[in-house]
Amino acid sequence: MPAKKSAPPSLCEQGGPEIQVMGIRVKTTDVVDFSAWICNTAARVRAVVTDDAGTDQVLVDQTGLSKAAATLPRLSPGAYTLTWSFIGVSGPWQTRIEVAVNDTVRYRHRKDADSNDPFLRGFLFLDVVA
Amino acid sequence: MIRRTHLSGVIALALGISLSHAQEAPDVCKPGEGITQTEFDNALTAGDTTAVNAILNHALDSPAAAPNAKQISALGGSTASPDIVSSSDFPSLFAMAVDTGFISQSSGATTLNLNFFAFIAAVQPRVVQEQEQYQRFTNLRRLSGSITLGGVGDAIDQNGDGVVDDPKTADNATDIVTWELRYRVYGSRDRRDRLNYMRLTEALKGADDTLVTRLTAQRRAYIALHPEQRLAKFLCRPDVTAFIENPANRATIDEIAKSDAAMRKQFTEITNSIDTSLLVTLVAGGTERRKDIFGPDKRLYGLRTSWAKADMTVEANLDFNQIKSFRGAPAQESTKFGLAYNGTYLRDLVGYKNQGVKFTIAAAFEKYRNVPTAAYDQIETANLKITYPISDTISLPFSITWANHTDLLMGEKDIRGNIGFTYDLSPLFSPQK
Repeated sequence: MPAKKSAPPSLCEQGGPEIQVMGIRVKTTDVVDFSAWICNTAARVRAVVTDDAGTDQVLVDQTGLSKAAATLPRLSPGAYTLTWSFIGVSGPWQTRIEVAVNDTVRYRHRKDADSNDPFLRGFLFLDVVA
Repeated sequence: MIRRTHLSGVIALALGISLSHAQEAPDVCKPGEGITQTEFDNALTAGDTTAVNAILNHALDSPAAAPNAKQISALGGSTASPDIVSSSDFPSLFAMAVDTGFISQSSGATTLNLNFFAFIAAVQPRVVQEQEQYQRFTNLRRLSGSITLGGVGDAIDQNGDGVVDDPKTADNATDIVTWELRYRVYGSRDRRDRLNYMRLTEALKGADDTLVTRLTAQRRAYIALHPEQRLAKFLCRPDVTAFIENPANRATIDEIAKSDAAMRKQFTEITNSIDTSLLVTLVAGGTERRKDIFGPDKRLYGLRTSWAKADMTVEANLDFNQIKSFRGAPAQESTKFGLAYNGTYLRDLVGYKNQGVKFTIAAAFEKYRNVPTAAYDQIETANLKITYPISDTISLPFSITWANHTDLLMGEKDIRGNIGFTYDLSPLFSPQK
């Protein structure tokens, strides 16, 4: 009898170790990509970039897909906050968030249902320089 | 050439290490005082979360990743689709099916579980992990069932001497085939089904968006006070504590905590409603025997419904059973309809630890045709039972039963006409442990 194989890593478990940082500095010419993976549940995902005046720009608002992705619009120099939120409907869920600058991941965060929280929220400060 | 490639690889590696060090964010907090984004957000949304979390743990733990199989769970076993069977790796799939319980054996019978989705999920975990894949099988998850091969036949008179003989055991797997298929025709308690997750997320998204806007304002207000932490690895706990304790921020943070708690309450209410919503399932089954020494063939067709609400459940079943014509005897048929209601009333007012009083109302209608073991061709019964708890484990039962024939009221304490009364007060006089 063959040995039992363990389940392959989910999309949320792939991608390498977490990168813990509160914010990143990017140039106005940089391409900044936001990606979110949701595993083992259906969820609503919303991502917003907020400028220093408090004006929101919605990047993603979708429900029922395992991946949400968006490229941030070209931002003028200043201080921004990138925020995301999930509403997960069932456990045991997993998530992976990545922010990449010019295809290099500068932020990676994972979370799973051990927190027993259907409302997952996160943020990353963005300093945009010329 | 090889050496040059090797050298460039070493340089690239060194550069990579150097770059990754360059990207490492500085830790500007004192050792042990750094907190993450999640911890910061938790601090901002923290009100009296103990009770909320207790409710939420239950709400989140109750659904399985697989669909709620309350009504459609198979009796046992497993199967493989034709594609899987024809693949070259069938022996390992078969071994896995045994390992995972899709095939089980007992008393000489082999049962194959016809929960196709569970088998596909065991072969390809992506169908559970990724919502798009999971959603592709929404209809398949409505179907379940089982096939049992072999086993033991019915105890029948084998030689016509009027004595019922011991049942015969099947020599071959196909001597006796018992099957059952269930299809959920209405309803779903699976939160990952589209109707359910859309209901949940649509109800909550407005409140979530508002909360996120408020949270973002607080995050920005904090970082404006501590710009040195903006690109750092962590936020510093003493600064966060001071920010939260600042009376100027406290009112807003309390509002955030209140909104967060209200959202969690609404989440629990909606999930409870989904978890107990109406389900209607069709059932078909039968037993096929290759030789009459195992007894007659049988058929079953049924309709099952289930609905629940807080402190209340309703179940209704309609079944048609047929034992096919056997050794010259006509086919035996029976139709049964059952309805059961369970409810708890006066909770928090009466009963041991204010558990309330449990009411059960059940009614059954049975119609028989050519069934020699049935006492009457038509049987109607109704029962009301009240259970009053007097300890964690002991309750006082009071029951009233009506039947359309008096002799059906067996085991009742008192019978008057077609009504039987049963009560048991003995627990009141028994020493309790």
